[in-house]
Amino acid sequence: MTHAAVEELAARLATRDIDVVRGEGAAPHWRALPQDAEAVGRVIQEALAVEHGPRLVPLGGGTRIAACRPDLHGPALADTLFIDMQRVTGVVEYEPGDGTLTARAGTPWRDLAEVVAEGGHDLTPDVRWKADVGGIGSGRSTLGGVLGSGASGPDRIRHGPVRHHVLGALVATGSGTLARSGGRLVKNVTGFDVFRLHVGGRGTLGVLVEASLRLVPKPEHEALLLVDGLDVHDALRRAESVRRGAALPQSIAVTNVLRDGHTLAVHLAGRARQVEHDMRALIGELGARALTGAAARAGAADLRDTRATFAASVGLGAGDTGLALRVTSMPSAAAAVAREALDWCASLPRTTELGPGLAVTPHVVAWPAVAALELALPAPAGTATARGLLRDLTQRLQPLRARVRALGGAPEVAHALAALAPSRDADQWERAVSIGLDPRSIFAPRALAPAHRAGAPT
Amino acid sequence: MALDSKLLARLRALLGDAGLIADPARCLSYESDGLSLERGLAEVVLLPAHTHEAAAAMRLLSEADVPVVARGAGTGLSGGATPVAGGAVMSTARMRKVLHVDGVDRWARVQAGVVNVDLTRACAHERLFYAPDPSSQQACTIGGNVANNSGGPHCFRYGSTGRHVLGLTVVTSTGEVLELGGPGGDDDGLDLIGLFVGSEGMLGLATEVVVRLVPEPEEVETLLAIFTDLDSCCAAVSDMIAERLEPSAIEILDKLTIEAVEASVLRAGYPQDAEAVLLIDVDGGHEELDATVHDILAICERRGALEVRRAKDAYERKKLWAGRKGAFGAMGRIAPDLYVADVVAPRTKLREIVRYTTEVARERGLKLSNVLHAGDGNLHPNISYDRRNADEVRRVLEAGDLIMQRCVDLGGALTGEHGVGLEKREQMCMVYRDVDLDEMTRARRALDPTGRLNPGKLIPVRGCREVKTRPPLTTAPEGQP
Repeated sequence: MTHAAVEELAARLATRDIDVVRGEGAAPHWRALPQDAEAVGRVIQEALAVEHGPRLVPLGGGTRIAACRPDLHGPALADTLFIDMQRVTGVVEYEPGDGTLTARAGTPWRDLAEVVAEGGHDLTPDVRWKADVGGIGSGRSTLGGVLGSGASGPDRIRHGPVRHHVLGALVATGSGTLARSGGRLVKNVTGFDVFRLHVGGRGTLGVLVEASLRLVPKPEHEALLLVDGLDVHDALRRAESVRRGAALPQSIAVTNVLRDGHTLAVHLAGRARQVEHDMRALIGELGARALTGAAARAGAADLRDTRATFAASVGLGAGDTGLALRVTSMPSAAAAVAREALDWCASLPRTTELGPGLAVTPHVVAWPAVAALELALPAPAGTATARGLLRDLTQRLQPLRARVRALGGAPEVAHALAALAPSRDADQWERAVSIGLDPRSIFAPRALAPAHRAGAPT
Repeated sequence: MALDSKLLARLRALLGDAGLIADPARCLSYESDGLSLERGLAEVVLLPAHTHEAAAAMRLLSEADVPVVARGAGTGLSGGATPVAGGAVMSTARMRKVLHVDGVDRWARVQAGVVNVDLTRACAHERLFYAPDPSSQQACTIGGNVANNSGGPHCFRYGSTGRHVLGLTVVTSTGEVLELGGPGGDDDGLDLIGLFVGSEGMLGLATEVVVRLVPEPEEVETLLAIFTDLDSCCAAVSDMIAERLEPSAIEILDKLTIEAVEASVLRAGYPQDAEAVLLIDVDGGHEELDATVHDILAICERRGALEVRRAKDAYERKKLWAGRKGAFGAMGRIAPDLYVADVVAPRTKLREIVRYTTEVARERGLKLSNVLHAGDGNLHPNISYDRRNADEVRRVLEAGDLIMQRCVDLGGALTGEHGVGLEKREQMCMVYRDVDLDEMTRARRALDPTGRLNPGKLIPVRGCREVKTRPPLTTAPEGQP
């Protein structure tokens, strides 16, 4: 595949009234800009008609593309045509009396949040709205991007993962048709829920064009409890005790990004009297200080965005340096797993044979009750390329993987090293589904499948 | 290839006498599920005791190209477990072990044949429970719940089965064993569990299920609001949804249902002069519960409720709920057969659809009783009839079709928790276009390319999209396809 294939497709799309633009800058790339659902289908149909055509990748605001598609960088971008959904926007139906929302995939997440707030609802997951994406995409998170990436918010402990809140979707398929499954109802078992494959499917099977969501009530009251200056292990231990306690928080977080030392943050939301009650109990138990009302909501949003900043700090837009490590574990093992991961970070050499190494003190953002610890190790500017660095670190990660596995967890490098992801039974069905729904591999390659892992950095 | 004696012998050697039924008289017990209008006879019923037996049996059946219908307790109401193409029924009746309960991280691993209510019993000592609670929970199995993405009254707050499945052990149509997800969930790939839950046994056989457990609420309160008309009762529910209240269950029972329950052994103390009652559970922390009850009482008053009773204790709560859960059984007093519809409407349209349902039944001289998971917009208009009366059967099915069509027209759906199965297969075309069904068929073929798993269900036959036909079997009784 060459640029020629992209150019040929661009020319074909122009004859069918679809704009294609070339993005310049640090990450040169091509984007098609369909104006509606039918046009998304036409992009796929035209791509199917081009022999050895480029691969298609749906694009929302670009805020999650680096984490979702670690295979997309450098030369791979030249063979890619992004289907930029920024023109496929608008609320199709917001039914406040039913607590449901249907909107087109390119609609900015923030716009949707504002629409549903008027009817007293919130969106879940509670995710960031924007990020610096270095030129690929608008930098404003979209409905399709949030769903396609399977992003979880800190509120996962309360509301569950995003997939539990998607009620149905319209998808542009691998054969260029527009297929609907599910519906707009909070309860519905009519037919196969094919749309679920696209929620968290990272755009590898089709393009989400429109989706319906279950909304959650905007809480009557909120409180954010903060305990600063903790040792990381103490903070995690307290977080686990909150998880096991009587209150049902909106989120629980531990991070060292905000202040010196580690901060434990517990976000409460719900009926006013219950929040007040839980807040009083937790202040006593934790010795916490509390923000309430709008200040609590703003503080919780800051925490949420801190996590985002951290994840993006090693993304496509940030020049490919550093390492983001996401370690999942059962909640009860989070503290032990964190100890292993932090010890491992501390043991990293300050220099590698490839040049200066990673910072020794990682940025930590942990959502222990959501079973994830995230570490970012920013690399100094001008060090070895990420690929070289990661190749070097591959070996060093092995002992960590073994120890974390023994504790019932799984470390996953969130950036560029899909090769490290463990092989799973599910891969067999994932391949079958990929072939079934995208027989011409128009959305290939799939970073998740072992067949493609072979092509990952070696 | 027919199910010949050699294959039968190999299956018997694998599963033992306790694990295989080939006597046609005994196979009769497996000819239908709760939808007794549709029947089909299996040539053999297999009862593996664990995953590896199920996988080994599936390999033999795969080699011989025999259709396989998974079956839990047979309480399904859409004909999903009816072996319409003959072949084998794979029952989970001998897979009844709760394998592990983790009280700290709040999950359990169970075999697929574990009865729903037994799972909650098995984790009660940890002060946890399994939230989905179909009315048949005393009999239905977790595997069956997975196949149908089953609901129940308390799904209003806690969600249907799909929101509680963390992992699955699946035997594929060729007899391979796959582990999907696990106690920690699996966010790294495609949501195959999401596709599998509710796939009605057409993608694979779930032999073990890892489920999420929920902490028992600090407090529970049960309210019974009494209304002089069904319409106001529905309006009260729409108000509760519009005010974004979050009780754990909102159920409506109408007059005929109340009479049937009160005349049965499950007498719950529902007032017999009421036209409809609202049965509501509120749970959570004390303060939250108090605030929600306060708001519910205000709505009920505004909508003209005669009275709202508050259950005094756990015994009274249990009695009120036993009446609701036994409602379908109690209908047996009205007529020998019961058509249980299972439609969904947007919750803003509850009144409209209930009025229409009443009208349709009245016009056709049918006895209609209404039980609603009202909080979810999930209606069960139940029509009592006698299947020996062919004309009545025709009118029942006609009414069912009209109700489904109206729901779809209002933005609703064919089924909220019972599944499509055989019953609503052709009506799928009311909701989905050919391109939609084509995509579902692609997903199905990707995971079961031969279409041997539960053939003839869910996907409409139109256009030969999905029919598994096979040559008549030497051992098949007369009249089998």
